[in-house]
Amino acid sequence: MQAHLDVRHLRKSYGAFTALDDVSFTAAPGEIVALLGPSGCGKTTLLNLIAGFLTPDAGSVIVGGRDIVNMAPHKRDMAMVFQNYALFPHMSVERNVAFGLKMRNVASDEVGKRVQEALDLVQLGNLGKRYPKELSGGQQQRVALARALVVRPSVLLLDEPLSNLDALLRKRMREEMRQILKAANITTVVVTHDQEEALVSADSIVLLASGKVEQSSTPNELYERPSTIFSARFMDVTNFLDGVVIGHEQGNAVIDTAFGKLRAEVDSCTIGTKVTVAVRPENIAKGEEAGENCVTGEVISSSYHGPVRRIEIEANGARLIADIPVKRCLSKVGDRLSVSWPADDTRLLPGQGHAPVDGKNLEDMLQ
Amino acid sequence: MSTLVEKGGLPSATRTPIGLHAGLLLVPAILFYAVLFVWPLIISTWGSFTPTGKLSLQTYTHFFSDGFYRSVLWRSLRISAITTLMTLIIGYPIAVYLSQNWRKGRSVVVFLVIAPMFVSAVVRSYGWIIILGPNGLLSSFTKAIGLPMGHLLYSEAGVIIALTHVFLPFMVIALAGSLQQIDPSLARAAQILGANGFSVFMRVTLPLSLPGISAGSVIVFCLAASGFVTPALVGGAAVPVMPYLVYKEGLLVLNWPFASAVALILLVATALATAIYTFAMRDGASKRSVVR
Repeated sequence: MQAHLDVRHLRKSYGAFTALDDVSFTAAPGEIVALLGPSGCGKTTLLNLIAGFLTPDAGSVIVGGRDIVNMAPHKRDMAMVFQNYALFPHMSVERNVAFGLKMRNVASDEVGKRVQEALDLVQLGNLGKRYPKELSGGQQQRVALARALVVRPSVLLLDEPLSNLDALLRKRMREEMRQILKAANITTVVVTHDQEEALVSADSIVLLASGKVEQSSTPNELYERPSTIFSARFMDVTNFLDGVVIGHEQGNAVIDTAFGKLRAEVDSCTIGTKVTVAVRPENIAKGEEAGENCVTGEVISSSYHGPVRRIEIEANGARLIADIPVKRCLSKVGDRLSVSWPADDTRLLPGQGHAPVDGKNLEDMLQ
Repeated sequence: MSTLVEKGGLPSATRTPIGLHAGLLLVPAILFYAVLFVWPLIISTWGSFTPTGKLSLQTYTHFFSDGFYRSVLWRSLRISAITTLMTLIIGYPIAVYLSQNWRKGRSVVVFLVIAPMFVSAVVRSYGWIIILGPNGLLSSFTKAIGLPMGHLLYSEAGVIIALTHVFLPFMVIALAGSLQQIDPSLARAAQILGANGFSVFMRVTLPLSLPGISAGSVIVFCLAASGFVTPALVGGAAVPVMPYLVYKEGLLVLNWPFASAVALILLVATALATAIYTFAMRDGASKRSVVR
């Protein structure tokens, strides 16, 4: 499908600081794209460039085949939901929602109809006369969404739309928001630092790190097959082991690590390459039968996480974290424990884990 | 612990550190105002109603039956209203500039706005006499460009110009305070929804700055109506205003009951004008809120 929104080679710097360095991505009509990354990665700058609140140093923003990079925000036919919602405090809910329609010179009888439709869509049909300060956070968020949707924008921009809601409401709203956006079939760019929110609500995710695109893929691929150490870290992979590829057998690479030989499913690999082996704690099971890779070591910590117990084991100076279902876990600190996991849950990432990325420490970037 | 909180009615964190009742904190101010403001006000009000030792409305009928005095009251209100309007028109753009945090020259402008307040009103008024006088800067300039228009000293226009200069800082400070409180993302929200610069101003910035406009106007109006030094020096006897009348009747003619009456009339007139104004502003604001 041809891209509706096409962001090409955007660059933006503030003095010596490069906020965005050659960022490109596309969104198909009706697609929801999440711009994901830690704070300071440039995702908000990118959103402001698309909205037109900032002008890039280079690059273009193309909507429906037309480069709008030099167009004023009010001519871009977009809409935006702000992190703090930015509802007009001196206007009722109805007048907030009607604002964009009035600015677009929609006839007043149609304004009333469309405002009511939009409020019904976000289930606030009976609160039109209220003022923003009389609404709860969740209701304000819905008004902001209705105000943006009602103008049927060519591109909808969402800036951390759920971050001001409490955890339970946020979980409910992100699914509801996706349904509403999909029903309205509006091309959407959503900025978030919450990887779960991106996974649940987006069709594709652009992961940004230090002003560059780290990985651009579907939620499933980003989660299952992160392509860099940063991506894996950001998607909650916690086990990283430095290793060297020493062989290749039955579609698996054999890697020499502190835990001995481990296997990882790969398409191709070069013997002698320095790599990082990555594995998620939840893919590691107790016992030796769960997969090709098996590690036996001493339990050095154990903590309760609700459904699972997070066990850290140490062998040969390296550590491994495993999430074991609570019912199956009786190990105490000091016990010896064997754990195992399959080769196809093992990722091989280029470079070695503790090497800094772009001169920046990974932990700092994740903060 | 919980019973303590219930008894106190407020969480302990909101109490004053020394644990005094909030009313006690106001005692010094209340005493100060009672002795130096309320008591003299009562005395002079009483005096204005008892010009000959007996209760009568003589001073007031004297004031309102004389066309000259009525014109002085009307002039005071007119000068104050025009001064308020002038400070609003000149001050609003300055306040908008000051409320934009990203402006680099902000601190310089803040200084320039406040600087006139460092100089006494007497000195400033003498400055205006020099500028507005018969051989002053203004008339020399108009003569030089071939448009002789006389001078503005001892004219109402001159008084308004000088008062505008004196009270501009108050208006700017009130407006900037209220403009600064407007969330900058509101303007961006309006923009992305299709509002151009003018619409953003008319529909978002201006309505949300109404409290500042209201506060600034009330402050400037009251100060201008009660200002004595500037109208006396720049306008003199040719432009008599209410405070000038109070001064003349009280200190030159020594007709204290009449001076008291003039002062009280000015007080009531100013209070009425500001009450009507604030009421109209609030009413206007709430009408605008009604869905059309």
